[in-house]
Amino acid sequence: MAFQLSHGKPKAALMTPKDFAEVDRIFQHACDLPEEERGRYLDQACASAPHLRAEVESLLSSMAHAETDVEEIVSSAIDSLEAHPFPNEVGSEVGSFILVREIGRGGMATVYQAIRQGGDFLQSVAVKILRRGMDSTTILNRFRAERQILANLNHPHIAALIDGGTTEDGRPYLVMELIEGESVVQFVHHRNLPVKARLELFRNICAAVEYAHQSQVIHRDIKPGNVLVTPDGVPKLLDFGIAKVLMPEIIPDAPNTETFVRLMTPEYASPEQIRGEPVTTATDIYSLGVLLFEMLTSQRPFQGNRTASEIEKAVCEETAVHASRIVSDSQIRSQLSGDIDLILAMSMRKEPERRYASVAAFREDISHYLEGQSVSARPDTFSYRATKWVRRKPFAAASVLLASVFLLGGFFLLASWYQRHQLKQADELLSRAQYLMQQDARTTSSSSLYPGIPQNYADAMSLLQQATQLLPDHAKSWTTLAEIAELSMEFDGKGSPELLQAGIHAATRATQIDPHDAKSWEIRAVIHTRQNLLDDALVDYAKAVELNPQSPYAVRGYSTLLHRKGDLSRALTVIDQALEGLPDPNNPDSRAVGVRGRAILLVHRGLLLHLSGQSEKALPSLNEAMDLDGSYRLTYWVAGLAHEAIGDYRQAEQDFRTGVRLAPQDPRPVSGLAHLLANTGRRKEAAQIEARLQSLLDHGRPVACELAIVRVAFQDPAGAFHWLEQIDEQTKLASCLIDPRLTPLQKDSRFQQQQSRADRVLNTSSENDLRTNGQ
Amino acid sequence: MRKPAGKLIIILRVKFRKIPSSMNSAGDITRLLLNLQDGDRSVLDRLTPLVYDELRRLAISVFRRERSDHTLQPTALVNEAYIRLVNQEQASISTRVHFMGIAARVMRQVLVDHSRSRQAAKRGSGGVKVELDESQHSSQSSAPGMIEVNDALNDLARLDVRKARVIELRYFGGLSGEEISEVLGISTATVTRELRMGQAWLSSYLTESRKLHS
Repeated sequence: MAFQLSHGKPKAALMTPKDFAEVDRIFQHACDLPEEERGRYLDQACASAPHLRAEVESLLSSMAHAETDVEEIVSSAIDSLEAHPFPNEVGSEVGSFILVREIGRGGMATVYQAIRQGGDFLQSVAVKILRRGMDSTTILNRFRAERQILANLNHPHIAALIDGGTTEDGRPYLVMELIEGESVVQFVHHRNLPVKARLELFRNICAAVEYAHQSQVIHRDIKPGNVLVTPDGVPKLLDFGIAKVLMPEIIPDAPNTETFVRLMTPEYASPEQIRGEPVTTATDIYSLGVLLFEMLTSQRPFQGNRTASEIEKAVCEETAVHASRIVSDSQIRSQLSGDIDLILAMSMRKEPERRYASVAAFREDISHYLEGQSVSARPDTFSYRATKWVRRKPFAAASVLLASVFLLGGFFLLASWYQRHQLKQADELLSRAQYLMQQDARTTSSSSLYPGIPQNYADAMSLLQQATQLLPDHAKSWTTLAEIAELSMEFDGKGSPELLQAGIHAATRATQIDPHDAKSWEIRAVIHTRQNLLDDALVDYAKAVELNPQSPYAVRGYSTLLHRKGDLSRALTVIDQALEGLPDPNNPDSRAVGVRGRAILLVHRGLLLHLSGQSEKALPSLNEAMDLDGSYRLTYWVAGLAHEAIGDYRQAEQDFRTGVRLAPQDPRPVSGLAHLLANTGRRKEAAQIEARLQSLLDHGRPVACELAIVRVAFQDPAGAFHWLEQIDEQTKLASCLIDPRLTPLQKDSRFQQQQSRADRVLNTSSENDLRTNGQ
Repeated sequence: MRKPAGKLIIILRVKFRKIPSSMNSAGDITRLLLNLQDGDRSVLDRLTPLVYDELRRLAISVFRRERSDHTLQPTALVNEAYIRLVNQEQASISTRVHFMGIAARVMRQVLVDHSRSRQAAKRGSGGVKVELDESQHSSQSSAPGMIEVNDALNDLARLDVRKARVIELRYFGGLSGEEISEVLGISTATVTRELRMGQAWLSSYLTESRKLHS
């Protein structure tokens, strides 16, 4: 074969995959032969394909040194990259700006100074561009989120967003106010500012962070490099690149950037960040504390000659030294010792909940110090407050006895202050708990109260229990508590009575405080369903659906239950009423809102009809759902079931396969396919698909249920019962047993056993007591 | 043919990893890796940039050191990244292997990106820098660079994806034959065969490429 220089590619690359496979086969075989036999083998093997022989021979000849060759080439290729600075894109145009100078580089983006092209005035800005190759969906989302966050933040001490867009090669960029200044630590150091001025500057930084928190944004990366001060002394907070939106409904696109925190500088990271625990506003308070420490001492609290991991360990375990101990200037030392040391210690406590409750509280304490008032960061002893007060107002101190007369009046003020304080605390607890809830399910809790549920849920529950103790009429805390209990049941498996009871108690309290909260009724219904208290669940669902007739999930749960109780027509009515109420899918304005909900309900309608033996009637609903929202995966599963039931096996197979393609991890369409194939005599294919099922996770109902169904198609009742026995939870077993594909098992006595296991009502006596007390 | 022990393990996994899909909004890398073993593609999407950032950071720190002092070892970097990013207590051997599987791909990307950006810089800016780079370049012009190695792997992938992946895992992730077999779910014997063909092919490709460009 001639060299094809025109391609500029080695001939090895010019083979067809088919030839390559053939060469591979011959080569492998030849390799296994002793060298002297190879020639003869090649004569024979390449007889029909002489053009491949040269390839095989060339491969065989390079084999001896291939490994070292490749190793060498790879390492010299890498070598040649060394000692070269990473280049930049200075000089190129981005939107209407020209990049002038590289300012900084983050993990995913580069920041340039840029000037506006052809403008009447020379406007210098900072342009942050996503780096090449960093355009995964996650990073794009994160970048977009930063833009959205900045667009929503408008504060004199936060670098403003000017513009944004996409470069010619498709990378998003942000144009921001260019801050020409130095880091706040350098600034105070270079100007040799007195302690008081440093604290005043710090108060302004707090104001920016406080504003961000009020806008539901946690910065998460506060450090000197992200707080610049302009030459006229104005601090500016930068880089919301790993910021976290506290309430995602405000910025719906915001990705959860939790996973990025591990890339922070450990010196400024809080213990919870290092431990990978949830980040709250308290995290920013911690980093602000570290920042203040460094502003005052030019050192970091856990500095010293340590590696990153040693610092991480110290941050989590050691108590920081007092700032006053490490400054050499005796005058500064005396200013820091006492209140400032305490304020710093309070802000950098290891436990987030023991830090200042808010940045505002932190800032106020600094103000108190500056104004000579008592700071809250000290054990609240009377003598301490008194000394402070005497020092501030020596004359007033003389009349301290007179002042005590007003003490009585003070009690009333105190009571109202106390109430507000409690509300604030409860809110804080609630938002921390909600934050924990949004986290991935973490390691299993070691708590003895609710064994088996994820640690973050257990933590959230205990926070909420505190909140409800603080303010017993805070409906939102109760609802959230119930919600977590409900979520936790997924993990707890059997639904331990304690968890069920805590959940039902919380949901009940929530419905008592706010009877119009559809969500609480729905949660109550779900838990009652789990407890197999179906009549109670029906009442709750009725209430939830009455309050919010369009909630697809409540309607789905309600209709499922009605169907289970044998009332198909009522179930269908509920669904149809909800469908009527949903926004019109033909109206472009409300399309997005209505489509998925409608698809869910239509498919559920089809499923109920199919389960009731009316598969034929299910098809129109399913077709409508497919037309409406082709990406809703359950549609194809139910359509497959219905088609299989009416004997249209070809269509059923096609449906199941579409279902599997849309959701390869959902065991339901997979088992549908396996059952169908086994049922129609294609057992070998079915067995292969069945093998895949075991590696999938529960979706809607247990994988064991799917496996049981497939076993039925294999006419293996023992296998089917084996799997049914694996299903621990009554409700899940019940929802499995109604599958018509299990009908062949019904004549077996073991099926009755399973049925009675599913119908058994849990022991809920204490819950009933509670209800009689509560209502 | 399925070994009974294998079956047991699969069932245990199902039991232990009851993570509802609505919950997978975040989590540490270890958790992500565990999810990845379930084949959740979105996990890969979230994991890759993390590993990329870390590897790149480590690579730069090596690049910045004195040349004579240190040679960049992708394998060492990947290992270091693993130690830094993954919670060792929770990680199992298979977590490690899956991490390496991703890191190998990412390491290759880091090196290619670096190489590309260098080339772009040579084209983009003038002056002294170019001369320095030229001299550097001419002395090594016969050796294929990272881009050529990358092109070669891409060409190999067009012919046989698995071989390209095996090579990538070996040379950019430093995985052993057994580890490769775990990542790809193939036998070690197959790994050996894939490797010997892949290496021979690459070696003849790159030698020839060297001739073509000299």
